[in-house]
Amino acid sequence: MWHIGRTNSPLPGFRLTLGYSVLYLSLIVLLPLAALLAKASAASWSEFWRIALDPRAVASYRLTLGAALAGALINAVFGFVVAWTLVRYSFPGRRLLDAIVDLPFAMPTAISGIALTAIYARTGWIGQWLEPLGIPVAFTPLGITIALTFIGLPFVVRTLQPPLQELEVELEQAAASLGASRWQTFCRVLLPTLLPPLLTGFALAFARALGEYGSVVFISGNMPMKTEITSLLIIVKLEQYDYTGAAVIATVMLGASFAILLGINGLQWWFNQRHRAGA
Amino acid sequence: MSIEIRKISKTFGTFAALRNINLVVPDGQLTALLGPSGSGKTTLLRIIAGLETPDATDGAEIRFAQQNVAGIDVRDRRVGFVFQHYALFRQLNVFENIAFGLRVRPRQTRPPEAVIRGKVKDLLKLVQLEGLEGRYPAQLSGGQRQRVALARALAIEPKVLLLDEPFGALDARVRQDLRRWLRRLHDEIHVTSLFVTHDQEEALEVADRIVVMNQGQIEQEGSPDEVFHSPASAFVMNFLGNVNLFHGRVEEGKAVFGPLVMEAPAGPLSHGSPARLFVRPFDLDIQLQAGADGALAGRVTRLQSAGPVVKVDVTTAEGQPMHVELSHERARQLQLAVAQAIFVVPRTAHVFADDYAI
Repeated sequence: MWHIGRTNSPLPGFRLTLGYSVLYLSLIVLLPLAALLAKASAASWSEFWRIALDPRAVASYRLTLGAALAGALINAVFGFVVAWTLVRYSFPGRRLLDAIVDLPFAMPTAISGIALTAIYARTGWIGQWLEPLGIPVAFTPLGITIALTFIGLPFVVRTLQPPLQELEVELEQAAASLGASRWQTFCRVLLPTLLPPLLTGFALAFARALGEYGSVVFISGNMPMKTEITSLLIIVKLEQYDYTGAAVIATVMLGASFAILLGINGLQWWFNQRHRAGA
Repeated sequence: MSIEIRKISKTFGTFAALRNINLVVPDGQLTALLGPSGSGKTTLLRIIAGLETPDATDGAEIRFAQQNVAGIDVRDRRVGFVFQHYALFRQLNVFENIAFGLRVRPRQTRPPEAVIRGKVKDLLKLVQLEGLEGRYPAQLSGGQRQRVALARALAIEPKVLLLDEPFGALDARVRQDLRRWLRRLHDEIHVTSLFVTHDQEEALEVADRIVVMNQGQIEQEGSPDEVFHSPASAFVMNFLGNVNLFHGRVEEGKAVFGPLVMEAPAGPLSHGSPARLFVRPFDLDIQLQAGADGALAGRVTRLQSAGPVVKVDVTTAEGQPMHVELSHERARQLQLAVAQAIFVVPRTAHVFADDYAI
């Protein structure tokens, strides 16, 4: 049995590591997903769609997808700026700023939620100024978007930093010597080069935001049809011992996340095909 | 368009990369900036391109023809710059890479699409990459990439073409083909070109003129023949090829190296001051008997006749190793054998005052 693995690859241990990887992924990832699908399949076809397309559920999908998308887009723009600043410039406090980027990663999400709520509530530091302007943040979709932006930021910044560091200065110098302005160099040379990693960062932030729970529940207020995210709806169903309902909605979310990730991966594959083929 | 450089210095922190450089690169010629790493040659090239700013010294000037371009930004200087690692735009195909410099022009001066297409086609033909315009840089070989980089630089009709170690990242074989090709290309287009290299063979083979640099200064400039046959300093002599080195001293106006007595170098050399003798391996002859002139006694330690010349390793009576290169004809006449006692006679030698440490 051993020698087959060895003939396939010059590195030893192929079968052992492959076996381990498959087992591990099955136990940790695939088994729970299968259980979820099994649970959801307890519902009949018509029942499945009735639960899945319940107005309250649809409102939660719309809110979750919309807020997650908005948060990921905001992060794509401002995360790019943060990563750019951290990599391209040297200034006092850069390391500190760099460390702060990881905070949303490191902080337990419940704490983030409480902190955000404290700031944006009607009496909070920022909320007390926004409220009189007619911009309520806490307990609105805006608040949810802010929370999802907060937790998604590190994904964009951390994915962009390595490729930004690897960007050759020579590319910019070549563009300049050919007469390109800084803006043209950025748009025509740098941005296209950074687009694939930016897309990855965006996808990660988006995926994370879709499933986020802890940091949102405090700031959202959880009003059904208005500020209730899908994750919360699932919890609500579970608390009512409606396991099938929870599984059905979870399955819909799973399908949506999967489709989105597949789409983004396909887009990246297309990018790479264009520039790597035959290399 | 000629390039004139006056009083250019460049300091990085406390390190003087260039010290008061004055240089004229004649119009339409291909000039090599030759020197070891750290000699300042690339810094000088980048200053000419505008990618680096020289120290603010009184009278510092960079002129293209008569125009002082020292204050002009790299974007407006119209120099073609070719990087060692190509610096191609990887998300653009060959065609768009070459067209880049034309497409980024302001709307008023941007040529119409048809003109851009025609021009890129001409350049593709010039660099012999017809049919590859749809490829991406990742799909090209090193030599092809460098030719795309060259075509891209030429597309803006540069006043001068600057190449930074253009063949440095290529295999020996490709490198040789490409430099001959560059020479022919230059004979076709005659744009004033300056290229940086640390490879003396490359400089001697390709360039019309060679500027030898060392420690931020110009050691010598001249035609390949001049710098090779009449080196101005021990450094140039040593840098441009293999040498045999002998230590000696000046005695009564003559430079004496054991049994060899040579003309002393020009300059204020007093009696007893140390001198160095440099002889190229092919400027040494081997004789079986000591002649009337001074000769060094020695023994053959190794013979290598596979190659264009016969290489003979000799150890002198004083124990110093020497390298001699003989023609095959001469080697046949002598019938040399290892361990044979022989005499080494220099035909041409260069004597320098002992002020330079290798």
